[in-house]
Amino acid sequence: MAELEIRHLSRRFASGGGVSTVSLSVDSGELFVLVGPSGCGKSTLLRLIAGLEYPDAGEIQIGGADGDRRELVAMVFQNHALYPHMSAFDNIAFPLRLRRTPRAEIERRVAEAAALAALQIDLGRRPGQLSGGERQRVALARALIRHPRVILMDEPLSSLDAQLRERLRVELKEFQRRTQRTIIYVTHDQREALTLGDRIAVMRAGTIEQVGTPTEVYNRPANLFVATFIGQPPMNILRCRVRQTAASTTAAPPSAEPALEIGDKLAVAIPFGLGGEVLLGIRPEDLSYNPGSDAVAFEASFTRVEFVGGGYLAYATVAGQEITALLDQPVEPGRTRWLYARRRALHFFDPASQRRAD
Amino acid sequence: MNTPDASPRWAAAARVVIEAAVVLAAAVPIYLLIKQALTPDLESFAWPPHWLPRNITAAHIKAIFALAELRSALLLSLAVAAAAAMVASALGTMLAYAMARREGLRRVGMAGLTAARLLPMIAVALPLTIVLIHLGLYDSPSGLGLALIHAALAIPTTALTTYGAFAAIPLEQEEAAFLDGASALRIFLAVDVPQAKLAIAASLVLSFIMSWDEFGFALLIQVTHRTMPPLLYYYTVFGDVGPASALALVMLGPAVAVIVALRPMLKSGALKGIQR
Amino acid sequence: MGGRRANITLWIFAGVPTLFVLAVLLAPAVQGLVLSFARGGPSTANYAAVLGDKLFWRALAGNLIVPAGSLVVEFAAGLTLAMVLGGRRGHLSALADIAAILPFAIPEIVLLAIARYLFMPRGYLNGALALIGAGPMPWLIPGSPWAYATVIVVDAWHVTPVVMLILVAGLHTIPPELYEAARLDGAGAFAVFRHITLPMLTPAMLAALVLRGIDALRIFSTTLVLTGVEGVPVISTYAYHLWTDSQQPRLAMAASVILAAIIAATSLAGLAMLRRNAWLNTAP
Repeated sequence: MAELEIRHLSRRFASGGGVSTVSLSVDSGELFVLVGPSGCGKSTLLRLIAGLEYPDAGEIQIGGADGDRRELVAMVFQNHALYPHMSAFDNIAFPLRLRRTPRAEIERRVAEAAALAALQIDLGRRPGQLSGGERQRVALARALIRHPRVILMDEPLSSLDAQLRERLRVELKEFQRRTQRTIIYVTHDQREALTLGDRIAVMRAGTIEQVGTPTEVYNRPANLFVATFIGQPPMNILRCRVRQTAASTTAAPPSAEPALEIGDKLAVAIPFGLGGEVLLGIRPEDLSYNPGSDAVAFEASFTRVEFVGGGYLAYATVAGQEITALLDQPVEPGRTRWLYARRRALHFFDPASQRRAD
Repeated sequence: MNTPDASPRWAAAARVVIEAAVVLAAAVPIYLLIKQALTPDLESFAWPPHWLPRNITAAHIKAIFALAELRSALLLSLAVAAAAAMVASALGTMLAYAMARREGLRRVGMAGLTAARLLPMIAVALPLTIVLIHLGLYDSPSGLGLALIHAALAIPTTALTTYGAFAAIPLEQEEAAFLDGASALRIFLAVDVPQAKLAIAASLVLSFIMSWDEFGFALLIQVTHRTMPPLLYYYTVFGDVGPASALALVMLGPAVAVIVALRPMLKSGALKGIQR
Repeated sequence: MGGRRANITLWIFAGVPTLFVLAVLLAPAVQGLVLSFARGGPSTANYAAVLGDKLFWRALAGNLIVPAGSLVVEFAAGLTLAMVLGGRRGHLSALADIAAILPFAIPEIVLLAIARYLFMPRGYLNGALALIGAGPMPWLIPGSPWAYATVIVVDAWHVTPVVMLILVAGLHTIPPELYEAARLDGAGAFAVFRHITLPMLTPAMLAALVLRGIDALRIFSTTLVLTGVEGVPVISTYAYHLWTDSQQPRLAMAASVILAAIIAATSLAGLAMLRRNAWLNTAP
């Protein structure tokens, strides 16, 4: 059941940026991630959902109802936005105090929210006396106390150091799985998106490029942008010319399939008919020294190799174009070796539309 | 440091001399004032004037609190300054907040406030007196008319003093409060004002002192129910050295307290924007 | 954020103080302007009367002489004090700090009262002169040029701390490396002052000069308390005199408007000049 429906939402700013005719649907209990480079509109979209901005066109529906948005959503800000002059308790209790909730109930609900956020500090302390992680927990508790239908998170972990970020990310995923809350999470970090999201939406310049599960988006990127944005190191993109090996207008036998030329080094059969150029995408982690079955070969001249902990990042040229490969063994720079990629790991893109070609 | 480290010896000596001169130039007049307040008028009228007191008396000090005219001037000054400070602070804070949150208002506001500071008082004072006469607020025993004028005069100062504090509060906190369900007014009172406490206090002090010291309007408007500055004027010009000096000392009180409190700010040049 | 409701609140927050200030300050100013042109019907008779009064012209002269003199004195003294007290600290320094601020911090009327006791014919200064056998000086005697000098000094005395503070702030913006470089080049104290301190202070001094100059034109209480209207007349006291002693409100208004016009013209010219100089004087 869709908890959040967005239809044709647009909001443009005079200074540039914004979102343009965005449509989206988020299910109840889903951790939905909006990811994209800065300026892509993900924060704007989140703020539109929150009601902090008003759309130029389109509509937003939460829980199928049209009530006061503030009753339905809660938000955790990037810089926690806690009130520095109030104690943690008062920060969390603020929404209830505004509604004149009786004191006993406030205390009960604050304790409940603090427990949900795994907050284990003296609530009498002020934000200035808390660590970064504790502050975000307080911010989370403040968001949870209102029992919102949708929790919005605007890059809540980006101001924390890497280790803390990892830990809290795991906790957050666990929390969401346990409580089945609907969360919309904004980040610029594609890795965070892949690890956290049940589904992710990749955005660029105000529009959504692709929506899908992390696996879908990783394995079948809908266009060149998604292909190169998702995955680190980014996918290699090679420009290739298509050459017909046999003239046939009907379903051609495999050996007569149109072949792919990369410079003069390689011929690869591709299962569709295309004229002119095509873009071939291969992820660095899909290249290896082993041929295996059903693999395509590339002759690579290595220029540089870096040790990156779990393996080696090798820089090489194939048919004059630069690629990177994640390999488990190093190789001397200057040498030339064959690298292999399974045919299934190849991605083809139409150079004109930049869309996936299969 | 802004002067070379290795100054010639004469420069160091000159520095000491000038510092001593400055201290004397301030200390001697204050001392004389104190002396006149504590000695009988007869002594103060002597010629050549006495530099050292011969007879100490507390009569003039007592007169401040005993003599009706002096006591009511003190109370009236207090009342007018307090009222003006509260009104000026409240209104100036509101204006500063609006300016901090809307860029358009800020530019217009800054231009208007600067223009207001440059307005010559005399051009405003005379017609204002006529208006007050029409309104029945001329020479009022409560000093209400004067308080309103002082408040209006102080608003540019209070607005400029509090503006920075509001501009420094991150908008995200207001957005969070908005999402929590707070109205715009509630956000102002619960999120912004507590964080601007210091600046608001400073504006209260500044506007109090401005009213306490103000002479021109007080002279024109409170002709029989006088505040201290015009009263001091009359005492000084028409004799009564003792009471005048005692009165001057009372007037000095708040000013000296403020200097001592504000000394750290003076070092950083933070007060350079405040003029007469 | 907050939409329409927040906008209304902000407009009220801006509107109420503005209306208050306009009502108290601007509206009467406009009324005064109207009144100055009234005599039976609209006329310039009030202005004619003022311009025909010899006292007005003396007042105009005074309104130019006193501020000019005051500016010279307060900048010379302010600069000296800024150099001396803005530098390294000695024992006397804390006291000197407070003492330097004092003339500005105390109420102006108190400073003027003190000045009267010092400068009046049987005051302390003449008393000190008598002790060394010298005759009394006509410090505040109307008609004597000494009266102008005294008024100038007292006015400067009151404002020198402000100039000093502005210049101290200005001195702090001069990078110490410039001084070190000059010293290495062999410059003595005077040369450093002439070639580094003074040029780098010029923008701050010009700004302070313009602002203080506009302020100084509004001089009122200093001359009123020290010498009375006739002694060292300026336009504000002249208007005050027309108001209280001569009971001529319309003439007083006309004189005030003339002063306001002079101040407005000077402000606009001064600020325009500052803005133009800001172009040329952008710091390296």
